[in-house]
Amino acid sequence: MMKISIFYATETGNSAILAEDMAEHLTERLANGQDVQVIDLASAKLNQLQKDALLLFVTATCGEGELPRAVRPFYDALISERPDLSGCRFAVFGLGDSCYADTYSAGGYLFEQALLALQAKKLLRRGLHDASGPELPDDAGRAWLDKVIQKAR
Amino acid sequence: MAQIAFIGAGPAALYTAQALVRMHPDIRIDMLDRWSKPNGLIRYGVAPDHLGTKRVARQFTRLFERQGVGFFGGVEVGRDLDLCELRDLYDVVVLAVGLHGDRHLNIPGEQLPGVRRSGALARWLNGYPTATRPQPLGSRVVIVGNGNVALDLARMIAKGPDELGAAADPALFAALETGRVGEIHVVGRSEAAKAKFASPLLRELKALKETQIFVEDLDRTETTGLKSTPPLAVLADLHGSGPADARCTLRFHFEKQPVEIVGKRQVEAMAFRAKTGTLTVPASAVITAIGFEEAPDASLRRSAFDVSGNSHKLAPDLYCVGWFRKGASGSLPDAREDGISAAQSILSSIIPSNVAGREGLAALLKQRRIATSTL
Repeated sequence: MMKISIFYATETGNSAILAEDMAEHLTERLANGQDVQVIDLASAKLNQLQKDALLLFVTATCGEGELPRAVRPFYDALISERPDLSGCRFAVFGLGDSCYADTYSAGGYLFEQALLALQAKKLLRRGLHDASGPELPDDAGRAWLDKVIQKAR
Repeated sequence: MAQIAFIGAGPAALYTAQALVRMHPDIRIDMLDRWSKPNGLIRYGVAPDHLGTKRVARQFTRLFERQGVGFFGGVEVGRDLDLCELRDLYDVVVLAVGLHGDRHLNIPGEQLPGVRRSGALARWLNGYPTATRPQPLGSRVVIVGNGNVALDLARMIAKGPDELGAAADPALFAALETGRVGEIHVVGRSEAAKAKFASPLLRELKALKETQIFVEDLDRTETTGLKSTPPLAVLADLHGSGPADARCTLRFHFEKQPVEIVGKRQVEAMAFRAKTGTLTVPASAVITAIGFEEAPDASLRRSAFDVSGNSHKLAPDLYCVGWFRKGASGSLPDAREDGISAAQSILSSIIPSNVAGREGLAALLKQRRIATSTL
């Protein structure tokens, strides 16, 4: 039985929808024996980063390459309280817009760096979706998720 | 099952509906819009060269396709039916009509041909069906305003057809003859440090291929040491960027008070009061981009309700969201936040009753021979 938590950081809602779609995809793909949770980082607590779960982060990039306003308390707590995440496995999927090339997918990068600094183990390269590109976020998300599952097994 | 109707199907309504469906899937939602298609300002306001932002609309298609939200397009409450009729048909009605009137400068010369409004121009460039075909801009354009709408217009006018991207219709830009514009002036009242430009939008201007940028009225001694303070640092960085043989120049001016639009039969120049005297800029077109307010033709008026901006709830069965509630400011993230709190407020007190809802509305519109567009 695989336990998977999908955390999302959103500002316009795209990451929330993608996280929900990913959960749906996992539920279909893994048939039974999975425990998938979708969690909004705007209201998440640090103790929801459970060591026995696969931690997936779907995150937007805003403004000057920042995280969405609402998830900054969570991110700040992660940085200041420094929970020990050794043994945790994670992967980050960053949404971005190549229209803003300087800060493209910077939000995903921030999370990845924070988790690595807390000794969590990165399963896979950061997934990317470009809102100005030709691909649908769903398709990019599913392809990435399939790779994550392969690595996690 | 509770039934809710939204008047308006723009971002405020869509985010509220999305939150309602997420929190309480067992609710039936209908949206009425005076336009034939939903999405409001995402469709007719967001700049067409901002493809990524336009695509925020993707998340709303599932509301209509999979989550059972109904759409009645081309229906105007206040013209085709009264608000009280709609309130009788639904448990809750949500006013989400926005504010689509362009704010005016109220200075002499504003009625001259050649004066354009940012909202109307954005609707044209987004293919709004009934927008009247505008005249070409001519060679010198003055854009009045120090906000993101002004930036959007300046950027789109400065772009060549190959820079506009897949979501823009080149024919609509060709009607304005944007390719013949040689000078763009973006002029505002505020000082540079207080301009409401979003820094990422300013930075985006550096990518313009056919335009050289100049920033006037920027105290450059002040910006050294302020490298991390947008928008000043970004403006300082923009100054002089772009090819020297550019087709077009884009010039920013700050601390200029609009005084008069000058011209006999058509715009010829615009005069501003500056600290040190008067600035007169020759112009073939003046575009006002100074914000939005209630349109003169709005059929639902904020003054008719107790819209204080504090609460979503106007009556037990009547709510308001978005710009109609709090005035014309805020972007998509703000609309989402507002929608989530509106949904919480609605769900905390809605009492489903035996209302006629969707079928009742359809019957009423049919009886009045009002053709509606669906999706």
